[in-house]
Amino acid sequence: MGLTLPIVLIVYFGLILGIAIWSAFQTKTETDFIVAGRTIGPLVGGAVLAATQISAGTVVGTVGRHYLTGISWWYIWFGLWAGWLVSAFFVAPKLRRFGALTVPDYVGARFGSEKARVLAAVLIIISYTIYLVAQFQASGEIALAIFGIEPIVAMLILLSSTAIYTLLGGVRSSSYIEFLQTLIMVTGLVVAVPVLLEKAGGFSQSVTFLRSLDVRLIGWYYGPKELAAFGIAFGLSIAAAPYEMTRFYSMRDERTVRQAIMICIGFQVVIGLSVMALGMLTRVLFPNLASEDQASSIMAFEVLPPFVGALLLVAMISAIMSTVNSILLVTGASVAHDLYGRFIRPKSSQAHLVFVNRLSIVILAIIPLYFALQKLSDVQSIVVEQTKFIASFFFVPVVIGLNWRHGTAAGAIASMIGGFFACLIWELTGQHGFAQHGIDAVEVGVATSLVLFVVVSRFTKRVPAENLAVFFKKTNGEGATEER
Amino acid sequence: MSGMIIAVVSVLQLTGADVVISVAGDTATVAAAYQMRDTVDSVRVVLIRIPDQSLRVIAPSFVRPVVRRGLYEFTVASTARNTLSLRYRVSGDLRRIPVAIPSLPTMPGAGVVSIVVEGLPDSVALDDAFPRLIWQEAGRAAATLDNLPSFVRVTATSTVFSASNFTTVAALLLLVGSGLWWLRRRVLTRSRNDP
Repeated sequence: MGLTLPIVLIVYFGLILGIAIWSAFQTKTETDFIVAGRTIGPLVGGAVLAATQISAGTVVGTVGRHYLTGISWWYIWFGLWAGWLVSAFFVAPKLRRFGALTVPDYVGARFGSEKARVLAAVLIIISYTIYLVAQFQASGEIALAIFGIEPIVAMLILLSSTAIYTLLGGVRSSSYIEFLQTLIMVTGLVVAVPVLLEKAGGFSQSVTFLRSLDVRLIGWYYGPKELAAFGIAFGLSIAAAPYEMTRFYSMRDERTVRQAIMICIGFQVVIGLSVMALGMLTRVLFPNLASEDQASSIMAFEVLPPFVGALLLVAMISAIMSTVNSILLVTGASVAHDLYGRFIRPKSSQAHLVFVNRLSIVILAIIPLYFALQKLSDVQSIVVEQTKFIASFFFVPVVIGLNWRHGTAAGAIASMIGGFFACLIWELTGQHGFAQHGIDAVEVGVATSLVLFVVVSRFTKRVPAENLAVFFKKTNGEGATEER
Repeated sequence: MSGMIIAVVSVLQLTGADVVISVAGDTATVAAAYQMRDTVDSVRVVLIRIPDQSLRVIAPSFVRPVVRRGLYEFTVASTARNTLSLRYRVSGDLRRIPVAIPSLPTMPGAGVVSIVVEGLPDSVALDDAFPRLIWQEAGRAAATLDNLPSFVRVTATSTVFSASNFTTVAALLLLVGSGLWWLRRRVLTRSRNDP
C-alpha cells in the first residue's frame, strides 16, 4: 500500500481534528455538548444514526460472519430495519417532542421516578461498557493484521483520538464527523464490491465455488429459528437503543427524526449488502483464514487497489470510532447529567457539568481496555450478547412505555430488573439447549420484562397526569390519558 | 449460544507454504510444498475449478481428484517432517491459476506463504494481479502473504483503464462529489432560512 495509507490517514485525521476544533468553539452549554443545540438536519442525522449503529461488529464481525457462514446471516438485517421502523413510528417522534438531554431523562420523567432514572443510567453504563470491549478488540484485530502492532497500542491510539473529538465538541463535532465517516464507509464498501467480484472471476464463478466448498454458504448455515432470534435481538435493541435515542434529541424536530431514520435505513441497506458480498467474496479469494475477524482487513490490505484499500481501512476505523464516540457520549452523560447532576451536586453550573461529563468519558473509556485485552470472545458474539441485554431491559420501558399510558414507575423498575436477570439466567442455563427448543435469551428477557411491566403496573400507583402529558398529548385527569 | 460458537476448521495449522508456478504457453505447472505444525496422517485439499481449464495431478501420482462443479477435491497423505508436497498441471485458460488449499488455517503471522510465478511474458501487467505480485527479474514475479489465496491471477497487458485505476477514480469522485453536493445543499438551506 506504500504511502497511500499514511496519506489517507493523515487527511482523514486532519479533517476530524478540523471539525472538532470548529465544534469546540460552538459548544458553550450542556445542551450544546449533549444535543448539539438541537440543530441537526435529516441527512446528517440519518448518516449519524447509520454510523452510530454500524460498528466494529459490522465491518469486522459481520464481514467475518459472512466469510465463515455465507449468505444466511444477512437476513438478520430485516430484524434491525424492523426495529428502526418501530423507532420511527412509535419511539423517536415522541422522544424528540419530549426534548430531553438523555434517555434516563425520559425514564425519570415518563414514570415520575428518580429510582427508575438511576436504574436506567446504571444499566446503560454497564451494558455499553461491555459494548466498548468489542470495539476495542476489533481495533486490536485490525492493527495486528495490517500494521503488525500490539493490540494495546492500537486501542490506545483509537481511544485517545476518539476521546479528543468527543471531549472537544460533544455531539456537534461527532455528528459532522459521523456524517463524514458514513460517506467514507459507504464509498469504501460500495467501490470494493465490484473490485472483489472482478478478482474472484465474477458472480457465477464465485457462487459455484462457494456452493462446492460448503453448500450452506449460499443456503442456510443458520436455521430460521436462530436467524429469527438474532434478528429479533437486533430489532428490539435498535428500537430502544439509548445511543441512538440520544441522537434523536439533537435533531431539529419530529419530522426531521423520521426522515433521518429513513435515510439511515437507506444507508444500511447499501452497507448490509456490501458487507455480505465482501465477506463471501473474501472466502472465494482466501478460503482458509486463521480467524474470520481478519477477513475485512486482509481484503483491504491484500486485494483492493491501494487507495480503495486505504479507504476501506479508514472506513473500519471510522465505524469503530463513531460507535465508541456515541457510547462515550451516552455513558458520560448518564454519569454527569443523570447521576452527578441529579444526586451528587444538583446545583452544579453548566460549565461544571460539561467538565464532569468530559472527565466521565475519560474514565469510562479506560475500563473496557482491560477486558478487550483478555479477548473473551469474537467481536460479533460480544456485540450480539450486549444487544440481547439492552433489548431485555430497555425495549419494554421505552417502546411500550411510550405507547401504553398505564405503565407505572414500579412496573418500569420491575421490567428492567426482571428483563436483565431473565436474559442473564437464560444465557447461563437454558440457552445451551437453543438448538432443541429454539428459544433465545432475548425472547425470554423481553417476555419477562413485558409480563412484569404489565402485571406490576396494574397493581401499583399510577403516574401523575403532568408526567404523561408530553408523551400522550391529551390527558383526561387522574393520569389516564388518550392519544389524540 | 450453541449456534454462535464456531470452530475455525481445525486446531492444526500451516506454518509455511511455498508455491512455484511455471507458465509455458497454455500450460502451467504448479509445485506446492506445505509445512504443518503437528503430525497429521492426511489432509483434505481443494482447488478452485475454473471454466475452460483442465487440471491434472502429477504428484502424488495415485491421486485422482473428485471433480465438483466449483472445485477439485482430494486427500493427500503427509510425508515425513509434517510436510505435504503436490505437483499439478493446469492447461487452457490461464488467467487464473488455482492454488491447492489444504483444509488447515495458516498460522497467524507475517509472510508464511510464498508464491512465485515463472515464465511470465514481459507484456504482463501486475497492477491488477492477485495476489499482489512484484517483479523479481524478467519473467519472474513473487508475493509473500499471510494466507493462501485460492488462485493466482495476472492480466494480459497494462492499460490505464485497469480495474484498479477505474475504482480508485470512482471512489475519489464519489467522495468529493457527495461532499460538495452536501455543502451546496447546506448553503442553499441556510440562505433559504435567512430572513
